[in-house]
Amino acid sequence: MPVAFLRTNIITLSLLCAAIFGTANACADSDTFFVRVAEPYIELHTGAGRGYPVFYIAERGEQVEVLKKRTDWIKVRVRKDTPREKEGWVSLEQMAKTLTADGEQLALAYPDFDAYKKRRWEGGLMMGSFSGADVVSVYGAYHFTPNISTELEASQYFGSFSNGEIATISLVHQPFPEWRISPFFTLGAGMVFIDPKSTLVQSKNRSDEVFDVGVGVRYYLTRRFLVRAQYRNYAILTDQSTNQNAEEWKIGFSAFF
Amino acid sequence: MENRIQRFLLTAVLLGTAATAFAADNAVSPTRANQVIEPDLQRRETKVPKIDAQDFEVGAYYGMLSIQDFGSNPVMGATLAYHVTEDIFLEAEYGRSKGDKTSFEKLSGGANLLSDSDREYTYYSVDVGWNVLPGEVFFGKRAFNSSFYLIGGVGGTEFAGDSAFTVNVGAGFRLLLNDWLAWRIDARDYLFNRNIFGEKDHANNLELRTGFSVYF
Repeated sequence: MPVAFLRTNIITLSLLCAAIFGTANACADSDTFFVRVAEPYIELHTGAGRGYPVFYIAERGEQVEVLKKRTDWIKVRVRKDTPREKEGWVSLEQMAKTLTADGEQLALAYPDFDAYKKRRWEGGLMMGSFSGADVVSVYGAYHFTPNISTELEASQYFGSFSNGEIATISLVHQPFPEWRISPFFTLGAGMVFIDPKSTLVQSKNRSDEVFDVGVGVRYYLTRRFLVRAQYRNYAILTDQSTNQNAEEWKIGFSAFF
Repeated sequence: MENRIQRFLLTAVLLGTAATAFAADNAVSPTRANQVIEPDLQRRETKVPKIDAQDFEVGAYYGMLSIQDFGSNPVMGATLAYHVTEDIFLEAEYGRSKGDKTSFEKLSGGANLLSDSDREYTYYSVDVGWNVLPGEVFFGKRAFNSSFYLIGGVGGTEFAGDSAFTVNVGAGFRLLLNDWLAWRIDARDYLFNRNIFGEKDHANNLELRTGFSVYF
């Protein structure tokens, strides 16, 4: 009985292993295509990174099947359906020199300053000060044109007297998208949810509408990265007799794709 | 008389249209003259399919969180990462735990400092990770890709009816079981200021956790 039990366990385990290690690319077959090596050779690494060793060299003229992409690496399969079938990762630089079926160089979107100027999506995280309170933000942006974009931003602030969340949608204008250090202007609207500290007397949660104007600067670092700093002035439309103003400074780290 | 004027005008209009038509024809003809042979080929439109990009990683973890003064407690959470380059990834995480009793509460017998719901401990953070030591590890005859990473970021912690701005730093190890599945171990330190015992102090909550993540 224990032996049978052990055997079943081993079978289950090996099946599980096969499921995990073996058929990794079963679902990746749908959208593959072939390119031909045009340079003397390309190098296949065991993983998507220059730190992983080269284990195979595909020579000029060899057919290479493109499977998938991760960051700046492309997974390929060579010598398909032969005993020497191999799968490995090739850098974007080397893949960009291979030829497609119609003899043209494989067009790959390489993340550089030109790609940055044509970017559609951008997202990142920022931190700073909102009326003296620490604030953490995440944002996502969609660029309609190089000049005009829209942004969704969610923030949480942690103050001495209250904590809260801010959610805004903004229209952003960037007058000089071709500059590496490029200013932008924002106009936004949203909501602020204020949660006064429980130790204070008048502690009642409230939510108010906010409008904001802002100015900021983006700095393209390298590859897919940019640094971003911004200032915003919020008008909080309270249900009291006067509206409140709040100033916010933030700096953050973003990526585009 | 009227008839004659009509005829004159009509002739003028007819001549006018003919002239413009001729002029237009003249304008077109040079290009036509240059193109001796009409090309009879259809350009082959080969579209390279979009390569399936797998830059996102979603994961779940379980571990131990030491909540300062409130004991070590199980913690579980989820992560979502975007791999920007082979070196840098951005990650958002959310975790939950529950604070135990302080030693004072245990020794005094009855006195409870916090209600049960205030003992719920939740945190989130947005982090930047750096795959500082990528490489291979060997298990038996098999080689697995791995990376040792440093990670840190900012976020918030909600505990004892208050939330606090939280900075975290840590390091972790990721073992890629195949192209899309990874096993991770993380050690983090969460730092924030709090005001639970009537005066401000600095909380230093260490966490040790492990989990699996999937690339997509």
